[in-house]
Amino acid sequence: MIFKSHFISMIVFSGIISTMIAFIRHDEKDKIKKTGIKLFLYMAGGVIAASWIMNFI
Amino acid sequence: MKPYFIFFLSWLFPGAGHFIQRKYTKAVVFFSGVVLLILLGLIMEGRFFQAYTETTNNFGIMQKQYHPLLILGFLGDLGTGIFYFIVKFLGFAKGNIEAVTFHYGTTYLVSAGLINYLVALNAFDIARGKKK
Repeated sequence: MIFKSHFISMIVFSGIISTMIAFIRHDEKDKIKKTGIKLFLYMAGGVIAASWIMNFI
Repeated sequence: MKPYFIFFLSWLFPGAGHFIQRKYTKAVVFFSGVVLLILLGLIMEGRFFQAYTETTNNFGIMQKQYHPLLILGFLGDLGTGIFYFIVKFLGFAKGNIEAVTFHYGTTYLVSAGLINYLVALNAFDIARGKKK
C-alpha cells in the first residue's frame, strides 16, 4: 500500500490540485507557475500550521 | 461548437473540451491530473460515495435511506465523467475501511470529480468567449 504517511499524501494532493487550478485560472506560463507555487504553499503551509495548533489541544 | 456541448464533452472526457478548442497543453494537464487522482484514490483503497445507505426497518424490509451529504459526495464522484462508469463497471472503488489510506483515497476520488467540474466550466467559458 502506498502513501501510508498522511503528510506525503497531503503534499502530493496539494501538488496536483494547485497545478490544475493554476492551469484553470491562467494562460501565461509565468502566471501559472506563480499561482501554482502560491496555492501549493498556502495548502501545505495551512495544513502544517493547523497541525501545529492542534498539537496544543 | 456549442458551449453546452463542450461542457458535456469536457465532463465526460476530462480535458476533451480544451483539446477541441486547441488548448493542447491544458488538455493534457487536465486529463493526466484527473486520471492520476483517480488512480491514486483507487490504489489507496478509497471508495465512491453511494447516494444512500441501506437499512432494515421494523418489519425486516431493506430500504434505501438518502442523505444530503451522501448525495453531494455522489455528485462529486460523478464529476469524473466516463471514468466513474468504467470504475463502477469494473467493480473497483468499493473501498476498504480497514486500510489506513481509506479516507485519503476517498478524498482523492471525490476531488478528481470536483476539479473536473471546474475544468468543464473553464472549457465552457472559453467556448462562450468569456475567457481566452
